[in-house]
Amino acid sequence: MHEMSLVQNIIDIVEQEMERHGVEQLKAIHLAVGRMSAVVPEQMTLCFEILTSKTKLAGTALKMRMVPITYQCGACEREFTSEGIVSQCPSCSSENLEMIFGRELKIESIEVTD
Amino acid sequence: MKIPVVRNILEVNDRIADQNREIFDRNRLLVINLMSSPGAGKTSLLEKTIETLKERVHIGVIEGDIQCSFDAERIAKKGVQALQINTDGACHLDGNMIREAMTQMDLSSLDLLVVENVGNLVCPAEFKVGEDMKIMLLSVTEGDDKPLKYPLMFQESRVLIINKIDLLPYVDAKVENIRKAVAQLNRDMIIFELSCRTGEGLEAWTNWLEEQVKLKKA
Repeated sequence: MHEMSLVQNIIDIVEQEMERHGVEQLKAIHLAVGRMSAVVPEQMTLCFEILTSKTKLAGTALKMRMVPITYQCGACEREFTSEGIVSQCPSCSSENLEMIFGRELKIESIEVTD
Repeated sequence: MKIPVVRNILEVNDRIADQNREIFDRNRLLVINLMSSPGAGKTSLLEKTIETLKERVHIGVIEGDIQCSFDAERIAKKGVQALQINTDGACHLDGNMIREAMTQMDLSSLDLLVVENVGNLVCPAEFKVGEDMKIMLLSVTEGDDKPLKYPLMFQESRVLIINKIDLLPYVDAKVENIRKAVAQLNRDMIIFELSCRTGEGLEAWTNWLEEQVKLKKA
């Protein structure tokens, strides 16, 4: 249940960005959330609704792009995505793998009403 | 119209944690963020570790719990600086809570500070507090499927302590299975097997920890 903390951080950052760009209202906030991060999207949405009710962000959509777990093989350099944790490269069976994506917790953009 | 932002959601916490870390480094203080499920034995491990090391290493402990101060009281009985943080519902400690707690401790008199996080295998892994390393504890009664069920914490931690090995004859979990799963997640993870209850395996852990304290001092 750390989603509440994450959402509060998102609101703080977004409010700064709105002020910087002179924006009063948002249509959506776009996030990148890695599959390895311990985030439950439904909880994020719920926490966002609770924390923004009666604020200028009320009604703004929280859109999450789930980033798949992506490995790079240190032996054959192949990059591949995976549903879960793997220990071997599907091409060369090397165990020298590095997870290069999947840990993201980022705000990518804010979307303004046209 | 989309306005690009590209900011890390945890940037504020990361920044505060980095500031804490600078202060710890200036004091050449080794800081450990100790994490596990509730009941895995974090406080028992600390009690045993303090008993062994306290003549040679000055230890301080910050205890994070949702409610109550039982743990800080247990630790204070061992004769070291102990401070309780109550998170009032929050499931993890963060950089800011530690920043406030630090001001109430005499950091210059310490060699080792252990931050005992809230018992939880999920949330604490995302929040840095300014530690040199994360260390996690898994007790064999929790089952050997936990690394693959809660991978983030195993990936983020440098050390895994497998506790309650005296109970292995009575549970289905096998240390071999835990090691196999951990190898998939974090090849470099240092693993200790021990029992706080019987004392088996504790020496290897306390020797290693004392060595880390010396390395930070050097």
